[in-house]
Amino acid sequence: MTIFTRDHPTAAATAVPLAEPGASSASIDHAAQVGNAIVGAVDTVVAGRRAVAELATACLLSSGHLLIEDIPGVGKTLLAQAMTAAVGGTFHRIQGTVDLLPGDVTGTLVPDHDHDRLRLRFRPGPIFANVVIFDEMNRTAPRTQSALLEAAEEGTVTVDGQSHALPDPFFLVATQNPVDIAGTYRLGEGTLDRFAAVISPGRASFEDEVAVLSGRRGRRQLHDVAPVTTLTALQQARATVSRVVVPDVVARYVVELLEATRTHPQVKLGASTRGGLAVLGLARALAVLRHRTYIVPDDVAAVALAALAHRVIVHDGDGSTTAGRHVMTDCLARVRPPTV
Amino acid sequence: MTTPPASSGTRRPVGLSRGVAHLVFAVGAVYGLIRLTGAVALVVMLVVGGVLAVGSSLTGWWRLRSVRRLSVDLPRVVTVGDVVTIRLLAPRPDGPVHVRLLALDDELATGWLRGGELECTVTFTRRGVLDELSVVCTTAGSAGLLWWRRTVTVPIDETLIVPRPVTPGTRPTTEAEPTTQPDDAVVAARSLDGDIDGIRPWRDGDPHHAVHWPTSFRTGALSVFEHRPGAAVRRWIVRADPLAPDRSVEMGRVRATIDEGRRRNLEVLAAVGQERPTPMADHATVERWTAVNLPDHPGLPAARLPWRQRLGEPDTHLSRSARWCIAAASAIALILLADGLNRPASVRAGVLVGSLLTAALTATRKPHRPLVRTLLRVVAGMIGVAGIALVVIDAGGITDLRVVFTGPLPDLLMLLVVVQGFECTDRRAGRAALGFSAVVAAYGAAQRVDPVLLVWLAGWGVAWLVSMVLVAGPAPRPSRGSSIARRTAVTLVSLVVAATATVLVLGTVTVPDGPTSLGRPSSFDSFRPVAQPGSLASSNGDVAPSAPSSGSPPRTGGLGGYPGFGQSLDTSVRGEMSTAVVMRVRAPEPDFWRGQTFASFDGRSWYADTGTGAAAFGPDVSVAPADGDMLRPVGVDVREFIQTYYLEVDHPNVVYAAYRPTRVLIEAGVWARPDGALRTSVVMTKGAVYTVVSERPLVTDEALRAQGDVAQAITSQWRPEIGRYLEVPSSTTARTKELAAQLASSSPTTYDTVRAMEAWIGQNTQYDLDAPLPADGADAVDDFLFTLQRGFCEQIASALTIMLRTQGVPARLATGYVPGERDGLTGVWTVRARDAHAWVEVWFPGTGWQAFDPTAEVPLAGEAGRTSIGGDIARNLQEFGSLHGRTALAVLVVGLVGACSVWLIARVVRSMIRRRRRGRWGLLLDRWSALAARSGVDTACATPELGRRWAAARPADETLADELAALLDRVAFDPAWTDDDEAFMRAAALLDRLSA
Repeated sequence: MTIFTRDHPTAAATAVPLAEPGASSASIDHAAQVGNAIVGAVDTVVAGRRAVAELATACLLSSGHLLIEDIPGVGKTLLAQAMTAAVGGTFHRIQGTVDLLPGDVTGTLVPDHDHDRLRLRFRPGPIFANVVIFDEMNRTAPRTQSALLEAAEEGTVTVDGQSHALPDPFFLVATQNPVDIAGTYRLGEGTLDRFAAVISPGRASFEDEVAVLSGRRGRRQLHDVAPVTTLTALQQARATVSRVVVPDVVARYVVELLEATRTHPQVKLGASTRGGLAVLGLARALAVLRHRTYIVPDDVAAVALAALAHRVIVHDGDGSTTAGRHVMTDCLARVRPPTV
Repeated sequence: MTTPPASSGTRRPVGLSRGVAHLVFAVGAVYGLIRLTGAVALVVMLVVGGVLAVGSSLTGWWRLRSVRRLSVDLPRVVTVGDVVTIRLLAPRPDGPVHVRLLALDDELATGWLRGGELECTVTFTRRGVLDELSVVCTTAGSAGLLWWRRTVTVPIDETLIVPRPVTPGTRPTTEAEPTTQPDDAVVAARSLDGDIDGIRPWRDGDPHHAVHWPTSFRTGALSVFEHRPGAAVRRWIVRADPLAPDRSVEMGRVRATIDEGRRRNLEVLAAVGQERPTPMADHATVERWTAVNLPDHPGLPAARLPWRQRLGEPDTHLSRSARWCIAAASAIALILLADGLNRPASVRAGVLVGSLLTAALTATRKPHRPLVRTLLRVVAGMIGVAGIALVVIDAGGITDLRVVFTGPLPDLLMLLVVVQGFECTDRRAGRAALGFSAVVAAYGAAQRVDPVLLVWLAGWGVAWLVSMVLVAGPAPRPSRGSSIARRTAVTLVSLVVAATATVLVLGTVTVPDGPTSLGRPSSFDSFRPVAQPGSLASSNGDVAPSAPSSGSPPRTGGLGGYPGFGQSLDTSVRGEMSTAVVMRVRAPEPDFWRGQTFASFDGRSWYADTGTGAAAFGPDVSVAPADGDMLRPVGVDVREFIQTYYLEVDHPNVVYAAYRPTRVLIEAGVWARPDGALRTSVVMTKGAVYTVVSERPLVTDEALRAQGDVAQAITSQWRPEIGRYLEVPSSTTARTKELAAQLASSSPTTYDTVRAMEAWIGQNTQYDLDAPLPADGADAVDDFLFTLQRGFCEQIASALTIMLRTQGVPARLATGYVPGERDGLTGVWTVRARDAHAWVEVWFPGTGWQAFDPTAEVPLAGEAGRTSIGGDIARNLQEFGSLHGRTALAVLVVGLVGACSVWLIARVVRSMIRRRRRGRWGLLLDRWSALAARSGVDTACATPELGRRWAAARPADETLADELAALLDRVAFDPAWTDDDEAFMRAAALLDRLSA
């Protein structure tokens, strides 16, 4: 188990104004600026995968958590690191291994001598940071994976009956290897459901790979990435995103997509309503990145794969999201998006 | 992927649909009814049904012609147990065809080939190499009676069915060689799963020394070290156990192990048992080796389908629409029968409600719960039992079998048909219901002779045929492949062909004989005896007043609207010439329906004597030969000729009959007068039905001519009987006798004399209903022949009679009705008031009385060829055409124009509604989509995606397409958007530039 710590957690929760319907175009522009700055920063490091960077940023802006799934060596960790470098705030990294225990992640009670009295003090674990990278999450035992459920869903950690709030914003980026690689524990459906999006960067193109090998892009550039935004700006951007309008027709389109996953012949259990909410959250963020105050079906189509592929349970699925991706591609082709 | 040409077997019939036996039973029953009643409508029903059944059966054969060349899309490699979607394509689809897909003797899938395509998911259960598929195609025609089968063998590019990799605790024997460290090799062989260095939970078979105690203590679960295989192990030989109970699983394990070894970059070899190992160089070799070797034990023979399913219809489901249609056909048939039997309105309402209620109960999509089903059956059973019990109790009062046919039998039939509705939940029961409905409709049609029957039968026939098609259709209606124009054309051509075939077949079917003795109807609505038995009476039972005597001409009236049915007949009084239908006669051939004969003439009027003759009482009255009748005519055959009279208005108590009546089936007394006329003891009111059996001498020209001169042939034996038919009134003028003698002298036989006299009258006189009266005291015959030379049938017939009598030929005047018009469908003669007529009967010594008529054309009995049903229908149609042809054409044209304009208006309105609904932006998008579709872009996508696809096809347009798409999406989804013309003009300009 290795834990890198860049900074101490500062639980600096800034109050976010309550969401009002509709977002002003000024706030949209501001949020788009923040988002696109992050996308740009990520794009300089992770070669040639702007769409992936956009999705990751959308995930960040929609207050969701991100799971990156791919074979080793295509830049999963780099992508996660680039995100955190661009966001700023506190950053912890947890390396998943088989003997990592829940306490290692959430923090534990340690003895503390205080005025000759021995009492137990809560020592926060590495989860207490604005951005947490959980590398190779599926190498940890399911117990430890489950320890993240509460953190990811509610932004709190409960140890020994005492809840501790996580810093805000809290953004969890986990990576996992394809499941059929040895020594892995597949993530449970509940755990997968906590991630707003699962993305798969895939291999870089020929030219980009040359650029990486020649050192023009890649890990070297990581050190050059400075935070392009502040936590406050990020919180405001998140608030703006939550105010993006969802027209009824688009909501219907999302429900039709969910229905399609539920009736697909290869699917054992279709996507849940939470999946639909995740789709809309990502689509909202994508709309903001594209300087729009409203969602269009194209946004939904762009994020549906990332948001739903891991939420459909396929007959004879092997635990990875590959089968789910096929199903979602099929469903997207089946449901006709609304137009004017 | 696919496909060299497929080889196909021949088309052969395989079996009948469920429930066809009931239809065959119905055919038998209808045939029986035809024999029983002689109803022509039933013949038409039977022939139409037969033509359609044959046509439909051939349709199945015809449909299979296009399934010769099939192609199947199959992936190259399929894993056992995987769900694979395969598509079967057949060219030129033509109606639904049911297919069974067989591979390696297993049934893969079954389904309906719709629109030439079957997409199905299949699962292979056995490994192997698949190089062909058998496709068993079965279909029946639209009515789904006879099933045809054709087996098509579709060769496919080799498809490997490989085992599913199985990673169980124990594995096939794996030899790791060469091994420098035997222990490592054992560990490697035991723990192939998840081999990385690390710690994992303990599994069966792990060695004790591998346990990682610190982790085990900490986690509370036994954990072990995971080792990488020894570096020295470079080669695995995986051996499959040929004695494994489940070979597929064994091969799955072998495959998983081979894959594992290959993943570890080892040289992997595989062998079955101790055979020589084969190197597994690449993935394809692995797949092929595991697919082919150690073939699976043949599974249990697939459960054989019941023979009915193998042979015939693959589906038992009865669709809702079919159920309702069956109910409609049943209801129409039941009402038709209830109507034909004059049942009260409550019965009609009852059968209607019963049919609809049972349909509503059984047509629901959901199967009923067992309790409800049992309850329904109990109710249905109780109704049935109660009905049968009632009939049995009633049966005590039945004295005659004929009563059964009009009373309890049809009632029971109706009850059972309604009750059967409770059970009508599958195709077999559906066809049974249709069979019963056909029997009921036939029963009803046999009872009725009115022209409204055509409407009833047409309605029933349409409902019945539609039901047949719906019952046979695949459970969900197939998507229509062909265009509406093609479908309409095919339907029209089929209908025309069917109609032509029907008329042609009917053209060879002659009108059936009259009803057999069991089916001879006779009934009275009311039973009222006449005041004075044996005498003529009007419909109120009073003794007939004598016909109005001389007055201002021409006078009308008399009993039944015609003066010929009275004690006397004034030749100057003519009948009522209205077209009102007075009766309908079911008889296979035309003849005179004779009511009265008159023997004595006083120069102005004819008189019948007041005798009553012998009385006999029904229901079956034998009539003895009257004056001059021959029991056995000489030189000619005698044929039984059965007529059933359905009286449509009140008539005098005269029994109409064709010459020579031998039996009368009537529920009353009958007086057979010596002059051949029959009178009843009750009033003949509207609705009365009776049947007369006549024995008709089949006289011909030759037979009559052969009897030579009748005057010389009258022997003294005959003279007492026929002497009074030779009396000539004193007023007969000399020139009448002279004319008669002149015409007779030039004729060699009496028959020729009659013909010559008819010809003379035809040439020298005119038929005129408004002929003036003869002067007082003048002889009516003389007046007609020489003075006025105008007159109507009574005068013409009187003249002929008297002229013949002057030549010593026995003759008399007969009154009654000419045959009337024949109705093609019901096959009955429709007799109208204007068909009332007077004609001449001439006595021949060999054959008895023979009717002659100078004015009406009724053929001699031996020459009256029986017409065919098809000919009658064609003639009816022709008459209708000549009468109403222009009207019909006009109605047709107006209808067509109307339909076209309705269609056009509907199109315009639809288009307007669409434009309104789509709005200008929607129409703009539609324009763009149409443009894109023309350049081969799939347009079923979101608008920005359309822009991207467009840009992919024409990279130069990328910015334009993006902008247009963004604008269109903004219009559609931005709640803050307010429509403005400027933006629209901009969008239109963008689209114009795109389309340029």
